[in-house]
Amino acid sequence: MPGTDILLDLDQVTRSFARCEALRGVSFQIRRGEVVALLGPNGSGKTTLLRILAGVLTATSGRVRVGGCNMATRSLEARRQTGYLPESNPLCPELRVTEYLKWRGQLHGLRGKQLAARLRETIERGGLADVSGQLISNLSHGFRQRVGLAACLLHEPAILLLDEPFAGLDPAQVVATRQWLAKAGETSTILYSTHMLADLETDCRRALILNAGRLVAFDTPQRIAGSFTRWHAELQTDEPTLAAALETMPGLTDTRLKPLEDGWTAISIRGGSQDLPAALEECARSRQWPLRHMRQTTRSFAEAYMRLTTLPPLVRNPAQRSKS
Amino acid sequence: MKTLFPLWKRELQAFYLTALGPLITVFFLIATGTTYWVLASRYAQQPMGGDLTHAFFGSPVFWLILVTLAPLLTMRSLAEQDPQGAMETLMSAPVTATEVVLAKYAGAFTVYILLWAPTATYPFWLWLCGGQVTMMDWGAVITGYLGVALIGASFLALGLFCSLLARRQLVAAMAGLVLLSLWVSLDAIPLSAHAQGLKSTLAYLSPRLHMADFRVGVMDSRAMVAHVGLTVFLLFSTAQTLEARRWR
Repeated sequence: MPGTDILLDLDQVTRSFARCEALRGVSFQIRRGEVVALLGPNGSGKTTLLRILAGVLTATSGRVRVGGCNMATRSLEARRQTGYLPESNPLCPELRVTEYLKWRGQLHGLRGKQLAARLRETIERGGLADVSGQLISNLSHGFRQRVGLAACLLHEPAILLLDEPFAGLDPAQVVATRQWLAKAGETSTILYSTHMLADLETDCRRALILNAGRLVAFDTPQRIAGSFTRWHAELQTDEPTLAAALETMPGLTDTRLKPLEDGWTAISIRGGSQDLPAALEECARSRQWPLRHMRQTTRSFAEAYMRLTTLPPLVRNPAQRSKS
Repeated sequence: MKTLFPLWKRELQAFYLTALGPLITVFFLIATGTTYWVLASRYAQQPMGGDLTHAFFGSPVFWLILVTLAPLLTMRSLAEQDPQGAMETLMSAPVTATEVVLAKYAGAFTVYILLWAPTATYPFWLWLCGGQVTMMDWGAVITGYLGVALIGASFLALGLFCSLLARRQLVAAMAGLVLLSLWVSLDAIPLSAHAQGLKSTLAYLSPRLHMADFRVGVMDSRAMVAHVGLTVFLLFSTAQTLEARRWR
C-alpha cells in the first residue's frame, strides 16, 4: 500500500510471553507526520509494542501494518521504513562515532556518496561534529543517546520508534533532543515512549496510554484531561426519580448520585462536553426541580493519566466498557 | 545479501577491537607454539614414527585447542543477553536472519583461519633456529591444514547454534565445549561387536578419525562431505531458530 496516509495500523494486537500477556487487544492508527507519545507505567507494554512495530518481535495475534506493509508477510520492507531506538541504546563502544554511523547506514543500504552526504548532514544536525572522531566508549550518556538517535535518522525513515529517548538526559540535553526530534517530525512519523508528562501538550499531537497491556486512551492530552472533567449540581428531588430521569438523557458516563440531608440530591457527571450543563438545566426545568450549586471540576493531564493508570483495567477504558 | 559485507566486517571489528581478540590470539599462539616446540625437541632427541605434522595435529593439546576455540569465538555471536544489546539493532534493521547467521559465521571462520595461519610458519621458525625441515611432509601439512579448516567449520557452526540457544554467553560456551568434547570422543565409545552399524556411523562422524587421515596426507571425500553437510545443516537450523526468536 505505497503512498498510504496511515503509517502505523494495529488491529486487535495481542502479545503473550511464557508467563504474561504483555499486550491485550491493542488497536490504533497513526497517520503520516504525526508525533505521538506512548505513555504508561513500567510493565504496561510500551517496549513490547515498540519492539513489535520495529520487527524485533511478532504479535501473537492481530494485525500489524507498518508503512502499509503487513509485518507478518512483509517485515523486511516495513523495517526499511523505520528507525528504532531501543531503551538500552545499544552501540558499539569500540568504534568511533563516524565508523558506527557508517555501519548503521550500510545496514540500511546506503553506499558511497549518498552515505557520505547523509553522514555529514546527520552529524551536523545532531551536534556530533566535535565528537565524530571519538570512540563511543569515551562519550557521555547524552552524546551516546544522540549517536543512537543519529543512527535511527541516518536513512531518513518515514517512521521513528523511540523507546524513552529522554531517559537519563539533563534538562539542556532534553531540550536539544526535543528540538532535534521536532525537526525530524517534519518529515517522519514519530512514536516515542516517555514518562515525562509535563511537556507533552507542546511536544505531541496525541498521547497513547497503555496500562496492563491495554490501550486505555488515545487522544490529544487536552481531550484526555477533558474527559475527566466532572459537572456537579444539586436538585430538589429524590434519588430514584432523578436516576429515572437521567436514563432518558443519552451519552452520560460515570454518573453518581447522593441523597442530601435536606431532601436534595447531589449529582456528579463525568464529561467535558459544554452541552452537559444546558442539558441538566433543561432536565430540571422541564420537571420543575429547583437546581443549585452547578459547578465544574477539571483535572490536569497528569491527574487524568494517574486516574487512567491506577483504576482497574475493566473500568479504565470507557469505550471498552460501553461495548461490554 | 548487500548487508553481508558490513555485517562480516563488524564481526571482525568486534573481535579485534576488544580485549577478547588479542587475548585469545596470544593464548592460542602460546599454546600451539609451545606444543610445536616441545614436539620438535622430542623429535630432535629421538625420532619417532611419522613426521612432526603428524604428531602436531594428533596431540592432545591440538584437540583441546580445537574444542575450546570454537565456543570462545562464537559464544557471544547470537546470545540473547549480549551486554551491548546489538541483536535488537540487527533484528530491527532490514536484514534477514540468514544474512545475520552467515555474516556471524563468516566472521568467526575468518578469525579462526587468521588464528591458525601463523602456525603454518612454525616450520620456518624451526629451520631458522637450526632445526631440520626434512622432518616435514609438505603434502601432509597441506591436508592437515585442510582438515583443521573443515573440522573448524563444523565446530564453529555448532558453537554458533549453541550461542543462539543459550541466554548467556558463558552458558553458550560451556554447552559448546561439552558437545564438542562428546563429538571428538565419538570413536572412543566402547561398543559391543553386535553394534557394527552404529560403530561405522560413529566412525563416519568422528573428527579424530578424519584428522588421522588428513594429517598423513589422505584426503577422504567422506570426511569432507560429513563436515560440509553438518555445517550447512547447523547454519540452516540456526537461521530458522533465529527467525523463530521473534515469536518467543
